[in-house]
Amino acid sequence: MTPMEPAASSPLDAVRRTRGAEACRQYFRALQNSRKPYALLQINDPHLTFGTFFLLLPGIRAGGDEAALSERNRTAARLCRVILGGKKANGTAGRTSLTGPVLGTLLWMFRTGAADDGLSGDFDQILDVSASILLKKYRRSELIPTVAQLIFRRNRKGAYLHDLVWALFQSRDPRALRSVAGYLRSPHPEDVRLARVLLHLPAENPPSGRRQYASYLNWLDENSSSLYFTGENFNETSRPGVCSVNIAAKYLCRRVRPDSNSPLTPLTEAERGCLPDFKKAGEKEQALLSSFSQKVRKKNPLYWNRWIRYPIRRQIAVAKNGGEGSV
Amino acid sequence: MIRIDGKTIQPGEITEYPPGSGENAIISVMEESRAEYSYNTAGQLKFELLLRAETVAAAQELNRSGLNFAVFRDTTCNPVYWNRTPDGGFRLKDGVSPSKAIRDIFQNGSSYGTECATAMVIVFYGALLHLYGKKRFDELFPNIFLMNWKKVDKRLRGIDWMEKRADYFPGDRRYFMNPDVSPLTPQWQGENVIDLNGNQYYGHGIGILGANAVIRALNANRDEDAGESAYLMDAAGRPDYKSLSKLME
Repeated sequence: MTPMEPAASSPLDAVRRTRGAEACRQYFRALQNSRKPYALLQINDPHLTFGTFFLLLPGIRAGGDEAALSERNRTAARLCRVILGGKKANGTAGRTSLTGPVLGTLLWMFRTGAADDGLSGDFDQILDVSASILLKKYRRSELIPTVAQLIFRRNRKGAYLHDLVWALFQSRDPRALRSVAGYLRSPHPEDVRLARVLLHLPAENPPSGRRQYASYLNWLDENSSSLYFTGENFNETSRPGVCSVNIAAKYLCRRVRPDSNSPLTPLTEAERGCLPDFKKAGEKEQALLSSFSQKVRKKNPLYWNRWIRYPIRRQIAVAKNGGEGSV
Repeated sequence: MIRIDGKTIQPGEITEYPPGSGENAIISVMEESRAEYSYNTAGQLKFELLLRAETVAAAQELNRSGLNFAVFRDTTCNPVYWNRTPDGGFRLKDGVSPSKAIRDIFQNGSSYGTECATAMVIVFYGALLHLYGKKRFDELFPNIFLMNWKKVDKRLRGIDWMEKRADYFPGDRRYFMNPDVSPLTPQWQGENVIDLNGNQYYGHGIGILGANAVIRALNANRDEDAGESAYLMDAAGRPDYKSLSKLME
């Protein structure tokens, strides 16, 4: 299934798509009243989409049929209740335990539900929270392109998207940045504008989206190993800087964990010894050193090993000259 | 250090505000700070102190107004004054007095429901309305849009982003970050607050609380396996007080 395509659909989905939501509700209600076993067979059809299930859920509850639902549908009904119960300010729904096997159900809810985004406010809220659990808790990074697509689709409609943006960057996965960067090349100006905001790129007199895309990807390639996610979001600021570069890690050519900004393995004594002088250098010099270090390490690791042991002033002088003859 | 028109003001030189007053406390911190608080005129400093006091008063008033908490998909507003937008924001209706529309939120809070960031913007508008008066406010802000920090009026710029400051004062917009918030409750990812007196904070949905109580409320909505506590960020959002002072008639 490609992003945002409806899943293979069931007879109930077919009724909804051909005759509309209200007709589907009435059809199911009539089935519940006249042929309950058949109604339950239809609602428990493995091919049913989450959108249709959500639409019929009030009727299922009103008919007292929740206990006869399949395990997937029972779990989905419980998740809907928990998620929508979490909207109150003074609640502690966050503490609700997601017990039991919820991953498969959440994947079904999000994958088959994304195409129905906009069905209702509550439905969209459930999609947002599902995306956030799947990306944050279960690290299902394969969903990143679909989540990004949903964000940009909502943006074109003027719909609420801040929680979904938050969910996307809770993945703490640089692929989320790459996915958003793709929209810099979009023919829709509103896509490009949003991509610039999400990537914290200058909005005043920007270069063309395509040029900005190329330059952003270069930046991402240069910094991806020392990049971490900050947690900044639209609730806090109009200009969230969702990620930042650990400039000391870049200088040492050490990879950091994008979720915690800590080195993947502890620093050696020699590496720790390099840091005090680096930290005393000015902001511009730190940027120069880290950029130079990254490039030289890739090009000539033996030379890099010598350079990193030079006194800091000599390192700066070499970096300013673009390297010594041997680089 | 305070400098007015290039001249350093000596501690105790400003005697306009009685000891124990909020304004006096702010001046004392500014005087003793290593940071430089620089103003072109004494009037600019006076305006900042006034607006800070009005911001605190507006926060307290909004807390008493009955304004409901609602996530953006469930926001509500008085349709006499506002159009609700698809993203949950409130846009001022054509032909409506901006000052009346803002006052209505404070007076009929129970007709409205929104999240904490939008409440902060309402507080700042309420404070400016008090200072400028209805006529001037209506001239200055004919197109108000209320939805967290999205499309904040350019004259209010500064309240919508956070910067580390040398000192923090009543009237600052602060933020409690909740890094390990449960994905079930994204509205608890952080709490926007107005600093009331350095010890107490107004946050919409939680009321007026001390820092530890705000942190406890946020921590109650963390992930099951959360490791990190919520915390008050070492940063504040502030409007450009000097520019705003120039807008007084």
